[in-house]
Amino acid sequence: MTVAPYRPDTAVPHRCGGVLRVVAPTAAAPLDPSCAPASAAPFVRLHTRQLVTWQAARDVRDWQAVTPVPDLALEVPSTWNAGLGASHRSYVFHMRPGIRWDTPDRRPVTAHDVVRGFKRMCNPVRPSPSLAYFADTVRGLAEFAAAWAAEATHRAGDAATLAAYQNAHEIPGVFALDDETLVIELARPALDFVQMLALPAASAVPVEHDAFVPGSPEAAAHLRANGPYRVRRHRPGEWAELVRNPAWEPAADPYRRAEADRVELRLSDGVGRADAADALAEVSVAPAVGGLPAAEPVDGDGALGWALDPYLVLNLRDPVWADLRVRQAAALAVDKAAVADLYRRHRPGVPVRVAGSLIPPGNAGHDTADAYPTGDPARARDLLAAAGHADGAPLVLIHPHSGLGPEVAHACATDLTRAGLPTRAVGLADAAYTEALRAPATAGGWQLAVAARVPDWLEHNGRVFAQAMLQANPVPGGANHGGYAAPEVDALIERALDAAEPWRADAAWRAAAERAVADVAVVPILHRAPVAAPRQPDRVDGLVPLPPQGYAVDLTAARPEVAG
Amino acid sequence: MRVSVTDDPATTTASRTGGPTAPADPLRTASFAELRSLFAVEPDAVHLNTGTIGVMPYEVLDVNDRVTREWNGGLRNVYPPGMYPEHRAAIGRAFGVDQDEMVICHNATEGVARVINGLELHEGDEVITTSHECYSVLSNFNLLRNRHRITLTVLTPPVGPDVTAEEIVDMFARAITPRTKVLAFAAVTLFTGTRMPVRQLCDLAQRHGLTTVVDGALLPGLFDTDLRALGPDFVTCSGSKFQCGPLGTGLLYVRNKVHPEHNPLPLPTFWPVISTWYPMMGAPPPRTTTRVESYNMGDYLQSAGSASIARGAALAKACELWDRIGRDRIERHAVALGEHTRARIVERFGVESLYSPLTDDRLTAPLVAFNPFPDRADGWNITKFARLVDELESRHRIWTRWTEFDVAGSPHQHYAARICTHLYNTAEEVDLAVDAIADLVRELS
Repeated sequence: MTVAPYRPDTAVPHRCGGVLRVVAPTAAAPLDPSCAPASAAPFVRLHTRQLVTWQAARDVRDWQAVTPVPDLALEVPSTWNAGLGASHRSYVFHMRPGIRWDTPDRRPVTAHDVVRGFKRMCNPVRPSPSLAYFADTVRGLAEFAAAWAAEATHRAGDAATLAAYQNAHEIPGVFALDDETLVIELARPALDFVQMLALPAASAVPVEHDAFVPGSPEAAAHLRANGPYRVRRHRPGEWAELVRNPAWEPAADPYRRAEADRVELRLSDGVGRADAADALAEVSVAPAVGGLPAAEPVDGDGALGWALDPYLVLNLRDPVWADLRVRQAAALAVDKAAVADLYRRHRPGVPVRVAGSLIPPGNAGHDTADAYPTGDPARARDLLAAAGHADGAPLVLIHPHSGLGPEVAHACATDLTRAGLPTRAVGLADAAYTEALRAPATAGGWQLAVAARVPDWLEHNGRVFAQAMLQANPVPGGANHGGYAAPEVDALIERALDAAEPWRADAAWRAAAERAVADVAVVPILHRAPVAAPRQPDRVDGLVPLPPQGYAVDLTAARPEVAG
Repeated sequence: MRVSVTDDPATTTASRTGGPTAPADPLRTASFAELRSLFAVEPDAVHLNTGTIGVMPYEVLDVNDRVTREWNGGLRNVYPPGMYPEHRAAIGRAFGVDQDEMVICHNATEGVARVINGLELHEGDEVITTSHECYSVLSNFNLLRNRHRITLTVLTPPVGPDVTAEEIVDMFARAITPRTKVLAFAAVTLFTGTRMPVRQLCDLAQRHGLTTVVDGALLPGLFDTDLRALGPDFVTCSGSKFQCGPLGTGLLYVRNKVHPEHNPLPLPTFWPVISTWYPMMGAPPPRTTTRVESYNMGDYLQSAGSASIARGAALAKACELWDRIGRDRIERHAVALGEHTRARIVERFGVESLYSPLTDDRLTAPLVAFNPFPDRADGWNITKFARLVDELESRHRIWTRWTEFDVAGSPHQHYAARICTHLYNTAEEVDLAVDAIADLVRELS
């Protein structure tokens, strides 16, 4: 199916050029697609391309905005175009001509580059946070990643060793027939596979990247582009400067523009707008918790893709949570309504609802049930007493500095302490916070974390909550930060992934989420409506959201004011 | 020479179709070389893709054109002829069924959609079918899955030269559960050209009280078929493939009476979802339990607004020609060419190249699917098959097609070249095609 791409209004003449300054939380902006999280997609999109992508939409209720459109691929495979067989397990992609790498020879982007990208997302040093999605879907990818990880335990992690392994081994289900044709075979049909292909992890990667360890500063400094911008300078965790990519052909990219001459990313560990005095034009991007400052809600109840924002992660590796009654006490302690009030004060106009379920409205598998009524400290204390819970050292509740992380953490810590679970809120810089969630065993002891989860895509997306947050022993990646493991939930996740019918998958996602909430794997606090950046920040025009990318603006279409 | 098949103008609406061919009819004894001249085959082209689209006889083209003109701009009532009562009766006789059981529809896809959506199925009811069905079958059952929450079990049938009818029947038998309500399968699969054991599968279904939906797109015009004797409840057919009628024609058989020797089960509840003359209030009488119909289900299905009178007449003309030539003769000729094709393919590319059946005669059809490339891995290389078919057409004007399908136990989507033979083809054409394929394979390997 072909849909018309969004084009900014042409009635009002405008001038291209200028400098677009973007302020973003540090954790949101790794530019190396092999290890970038889905939340980095709006930035990765500046310089990389994927097999499919999304088109920006001024009216976010436009269904075309949530339907993948072909990007590196010439068409989205379907039975109609012979790209998809009856079993929906074999996808054939034909590469779009005219897409070139920003290399001296301006080499065409080939199917082999996409194969390399799939391999590189499995790298054992810095695997993609989206790896679990693909591992459970693409034939042989989980085994490839596991074997590479096993090999890495007794090999050096340098770039040459990694590249040697990568290039000597194949993912059985991902192969190029020639430069222009790619086949991806699935272990089982997946209702959301095409949506997954828009993630940064599925970007094409040039051979030049083999010279660098994924996610390393060296890799970040030598990224090769095939999108409208190239990375000129990059200091990971601090800033990046992107300029127009001379190898990019607009005619070969229906869904991106290159309005600004230059894009400056300023990465902030703090609360948003930093050093804006000299900004010609500036856009803010959502922090992990609390959505955008001064954001506008997107169509309230009717919107797809509400966020679970915030929720509490219980680090289940810690023995303090061994007794279900203690976990239930934690869930009962939190005054969710008070947190909702907090959001309403800081994010006026953004709809929030007290959450009982893991999967928010507008996502597959949402359930309105609330297993734990909000704020019952007396009942929490009774449960703790019944469990024989003794006061010990205060629990550590980590939170990001950005967004509303500090406010939420302090409110929750107060509630937990009042209910008999003394808790200390510890703020972390975004990068440290992300690392603590990613690798809790090595990032220091914590028992609780304030977190948020925004869906990575919007259709058939139960897995972005239930699988990512609940599946036990996944390959690296995902969002099971607390280490939850329940065979019954895993079986439900498998049932959902196996389902050919959306309603059957939704039922299984819902059941998995209900069971996990009953187990108090996490404590859902609020469901938040999607928010988009203000439509007209000072001196920037052409801000159009990309709904499946957290309603972030399409930075390639943003038009900074040009002097004169 | 061109065989004379002049018409009596008074009979061109096919009122004389059906019945045994008169011995004096020259078509009955004409050679196949002579019969070839009846068809609008391009003289320098080799048409080996009748499984996709057949070649119309000149006479069929003429009828289509003439009847179109006759009914253009007139003030006559177009609805009665759009019910095709005589055509349906004549065509029904050719296929062993009655007028009330036969419908002329727009194509096999429309027919199968009307059947599938007319079945009485509810949440939890199971349909068993195969991954080798036409996509129109699978997509319509998926529609029911989404709409009514039925369970759809999709089996991948065995393929290759040694597959037997018993293996296929056993595959279905093992899949039947207490919730199974329908078996749906092709009479001849379009991907591998497997002639499914329809009678055995219908016996299996009848033993379990199941409804049978048969995609018979490739049946009419190829096999001399008695639809009732096969035992199914529904068969949907193309009119434009082996029957060589106009594009946009199809046939639909709906069992509308009980002949215990063929299918003793009660008639399944069926809803004619596209119908002008289904009662606008109340319901039809209860369905019959005997050999006498209680109402004309064919009329309900045939009444679907204004119809293409010309296309119906042209399809009837094609069927009439087949009856005059002899459907048994046509089947023997096409099947013999199919055997010749398989032999040549085995000789040139090895028996292991075949995806189509070989050793079990009950399963063979004159549609032969094979992988001519020596590297087995090319069996899942779509680009090589697409190139092969394109080059055959552009360099040699040989028209074939490639097909794609699952192979049980293989993680890959497999591709095959497919050659179809029909009454207007010759062994020399098959030889030419196999030689050209061999040359191209060397070039592409």
